[in-house]
Amino acid sequence: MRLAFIIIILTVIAVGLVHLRRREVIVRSEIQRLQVRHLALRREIWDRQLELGHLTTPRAIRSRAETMALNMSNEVPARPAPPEQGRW
Amino acid sequence: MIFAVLALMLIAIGARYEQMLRCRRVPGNPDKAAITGQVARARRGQKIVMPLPARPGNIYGRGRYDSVLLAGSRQVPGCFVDPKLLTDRQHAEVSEQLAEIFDTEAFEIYTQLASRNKRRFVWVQREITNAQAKAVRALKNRAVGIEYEWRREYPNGGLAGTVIGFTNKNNESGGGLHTMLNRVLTPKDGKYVLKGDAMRRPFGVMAKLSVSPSDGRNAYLSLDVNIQQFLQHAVSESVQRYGAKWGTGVVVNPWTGDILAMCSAPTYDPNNYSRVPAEQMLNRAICCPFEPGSIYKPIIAAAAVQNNILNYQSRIYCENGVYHARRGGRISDHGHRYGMMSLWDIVVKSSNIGMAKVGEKLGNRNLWRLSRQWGFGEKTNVGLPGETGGIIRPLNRWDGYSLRRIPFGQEISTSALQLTMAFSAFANGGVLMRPRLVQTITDAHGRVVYQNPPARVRRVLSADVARQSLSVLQDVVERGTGKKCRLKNYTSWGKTGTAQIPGPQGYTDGAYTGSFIGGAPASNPAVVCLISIYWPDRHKGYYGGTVAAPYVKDVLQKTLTYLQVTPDRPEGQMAIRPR
Repeated sequence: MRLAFIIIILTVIAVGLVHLRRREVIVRSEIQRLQVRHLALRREIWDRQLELGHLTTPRAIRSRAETMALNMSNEVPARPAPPEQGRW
Repeated sequence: MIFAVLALMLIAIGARYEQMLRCRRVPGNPDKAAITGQVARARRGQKIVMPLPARPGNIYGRGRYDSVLLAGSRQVPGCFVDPKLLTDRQHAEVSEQLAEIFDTEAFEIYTQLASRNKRRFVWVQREITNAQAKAVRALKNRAVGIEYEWRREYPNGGLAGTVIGFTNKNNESGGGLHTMLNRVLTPKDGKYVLKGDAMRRPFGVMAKLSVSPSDGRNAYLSLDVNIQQFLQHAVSESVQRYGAKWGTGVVVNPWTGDILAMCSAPTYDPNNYSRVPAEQMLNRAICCPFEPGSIYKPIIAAAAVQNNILNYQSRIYCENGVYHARRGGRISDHGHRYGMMSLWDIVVKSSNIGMAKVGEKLGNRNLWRLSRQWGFGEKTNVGLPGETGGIIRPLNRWDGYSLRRIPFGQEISTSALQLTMAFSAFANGGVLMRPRLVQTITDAHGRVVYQNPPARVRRVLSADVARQSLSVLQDVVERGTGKKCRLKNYTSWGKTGTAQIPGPQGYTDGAYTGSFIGGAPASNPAVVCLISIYWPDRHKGYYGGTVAAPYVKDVLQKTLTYLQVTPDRPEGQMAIRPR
């Protein structure tokens, strides 16, 4: 009777351990999958950042303004000089 | 029975463990090496390393409203094949499949694979598109894979190319800011280490061996892309028009020492660095010293006034155009026959004889000391690689010629940046500033990790002398040699310089450096701009007032409009001569 009880307890523990191990493997594999996804997203961000950089260069803006026939103002607005130009 | 079997197994495991421990404890045990070797091999076999790349830092310039990306990195996919995993027939199949994806000849790919069939890694196509990478993955062939490589890109192309520099395919810096900020921009790659089974299936993480990636830091420059464009355009145009060997230009904010623009012409596009000769990559504003010529006159004149040796009203006899100095050679005013002139007019009319006499009054020791005080002969410490400090010969090698030549900018070499910083002292009330190119460094999350505040080197002029000197320079533009730099809506100041170029046998015939340095508005200078044109075609023009002054005017006019500086002169009106 006692032996049967021990065997049952040991079996339960073994099943629990196997289950935990299984969960752990699943989680680890999920972490790995997320790492790969994270890297892919980072790559996409780097791509987008550079594309944005290309689009916002003065040259690109000027060419777009010309294509869209926008009126670029060349007037000198009356505004005080920037504040950092104080005298020593 | 079960207990007996279990007990025997435990004893066997224990004995094996004890043996292993003993092997480790006894030094020189021959079994130890074998066992530890096996263990190490087993551990290596278990380890799966997944690289986590970190991005190199970006370089940003200033724009109209926001920062503008000057240099950034992205990962681009490339396709590789492991030919050893394929048979000859499969080589042909794979070649056909890949040729279809990359729109190339299958034969070329097949030749590559067949000739390197003993290797484990052969690039088939580098820098492919994401769509092509997706198509390669869809083949689901173990022998065909995608590997990412870093590519540095410069969205503004050749804008400030000589200042920014480049990095090659191995992420090694190739001059300019990339070399200066190498440690800042370089990222630290991470890795994710996993334990794997015999089939290389991961079943655990080796957390202690895993490292998070750390992106490089970002640098924010004082360079303004728009001003840079104005300057670069002006310098290139002058170099082209006058057939010069090269040209350089600098624009600074005199109050902070911020370098708003710095360029060399011809320049290059760092995106195509490998197709450009090395000399085209030089940042000539800091690397190439040249004799400043008459641009140097206001500095010596101001230093003489500052040291109470002369004042701007002191009158000096200019020998009616030719001066034979005792042990000082012949000095001429190039056809101008000036008699008695004030120091003010000597600078305005740019008289060599007048300045030679100022040198006589100062003496060699004072001249040397004052030149050094203004920062000549030493680096400005802008931080860029390859900076020259210019050349001032040691005092014991000066003679009667030096005494009379240095005041008008011969026998001395300076960089364009040194000259610009020296003239900024006239504009800001007499303080020599350290040039500032990098303003801020932030980490990958945008947190500021380093702030570079404006730094004063030393005061070289009193505010009063600086104001007087600026008035003299304003007069140069109003009625002197710099008339071509008169602006429409702003008062301006400046000085021309036309220096002969020295060669191994004295000055080279017909070789000149034409320069102009100027600033505006004279009432409260916002910017100082220098343009130097080296060795223009003498038949097309070589005077600083011709090859540089109109271009400095162009840059100043555009820059002041762009910076929204309030005009201080109604159109067409002469500035009042503040004598």
